[in-house]
Amino acid sequence: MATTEEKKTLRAKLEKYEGKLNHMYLDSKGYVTIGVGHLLSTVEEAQKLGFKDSNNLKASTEAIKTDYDEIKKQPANRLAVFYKKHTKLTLPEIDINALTDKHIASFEGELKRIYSDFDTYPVDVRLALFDLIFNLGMTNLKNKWPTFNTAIKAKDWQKAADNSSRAAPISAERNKYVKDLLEKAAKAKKDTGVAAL
Amino acid sequence: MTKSKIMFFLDKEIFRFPLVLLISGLAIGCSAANDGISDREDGEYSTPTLAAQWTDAFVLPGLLADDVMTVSQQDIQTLFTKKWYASIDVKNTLKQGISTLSSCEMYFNNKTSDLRAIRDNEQSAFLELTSACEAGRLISNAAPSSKTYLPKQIISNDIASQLPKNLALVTSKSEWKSVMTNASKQYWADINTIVEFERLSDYQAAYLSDGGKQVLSEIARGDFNSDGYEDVLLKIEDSLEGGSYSNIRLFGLTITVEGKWRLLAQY
Repeated sequence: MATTEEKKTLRAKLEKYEGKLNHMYLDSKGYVTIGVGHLLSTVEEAQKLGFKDSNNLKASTEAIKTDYDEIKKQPANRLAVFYKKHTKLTLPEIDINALTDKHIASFEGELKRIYSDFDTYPVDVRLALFDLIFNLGMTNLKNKWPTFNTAIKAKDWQKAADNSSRAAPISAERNKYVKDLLEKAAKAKKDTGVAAL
Repeated sequence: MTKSKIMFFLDKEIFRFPLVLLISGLAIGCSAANDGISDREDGEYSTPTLAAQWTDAFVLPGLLADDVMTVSQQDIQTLFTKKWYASIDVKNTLKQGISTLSSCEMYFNNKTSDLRAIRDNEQSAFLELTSACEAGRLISNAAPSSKTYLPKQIISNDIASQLPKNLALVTSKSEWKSVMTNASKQYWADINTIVEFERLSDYQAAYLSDGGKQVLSEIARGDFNSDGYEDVLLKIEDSLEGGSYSNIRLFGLTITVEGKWRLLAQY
């Protein structure tokens, strides 16, 4: 289970790289989304959330449906300001954070399915894997990263670091964040090994 | 009337010059100077002199703040100075200090190989804008072509087994290097096994592979490299099941005399 501190670090990084929007928008696949990439696959799912209107009052289910339907018919791959003008409701930060925590818990379960001893990995390795799975999804990470996964399962953190970069358009900065985490774990492992001699 | 219907008329040779101009001008953007009926010789179409044609998948007009009408190539050129629906903060520009772009012209003037949105979550929107600008530039500069090997309909359920592997969806840089150096893997479908095909329109379809979804769109046809042969501009939108990764890529391709797809450039 990710610790409170890990979740806090993860949330901060995910917000930085994925953005954090308090109104509904479309993700790049054209799905209605809220917060830090939280998919709202149905209007009913959106209606379960504590959206607020412009007077900071609890939004009605009808108002949530109006926002949802309005966003759903827009094109994908637009800037947030484009979607914002089509919405009237917002989701409080506390609710967005709760959704992100739920998301993190779901990804943790998936990471354990890919890496059976995930819980035993150093914190830095776990943080690196969280960033990758959030971005790549479980199927791609599990099936399309054979060199990286072999290194992770062998706990060869340096080799994993060397094979951790994602293709464009992932920023060099985000790739470096993941690589640095894995290299830090590799160095710690090496130092521990030397100390044990 | 859709472009494919127009192409059907071309194939059946039932049209004459004024009719095709009228139809083309109304249904799809094109700039044409037609000198007769197309004929076919050994798989090669000697077309009437036909400049660029573009489809509904050319989205630049819809990305602008104001409504515009694009009928000719010259019309497309005028779009470059028009404001996008919103401005975007970018980094790694050619000119120091420029950090906000709001038109194709500004993008062209500040373009570098590593130009990107300042905020990572705006990169997809930025790629949508820049790929549309690049497509517009290519269409507006396209020369008339006199010959083509391109099929009437490019978007099909088996095109992934014919297009080069550069179109494949590979998210790991290491695996990408390995794929590109593996001579036994030549085609997109050699890398991504397509498990589902969904036609979205005459010019657009979704190709689903293991955890990946790619939407392929035919943007335009024209002679983009001035060799007299018709080329095609394809856009591919990559995304992953359960992940936030997405990419938008634009490719110029043609078919060689041997009948093989050849990559001209990635823009």
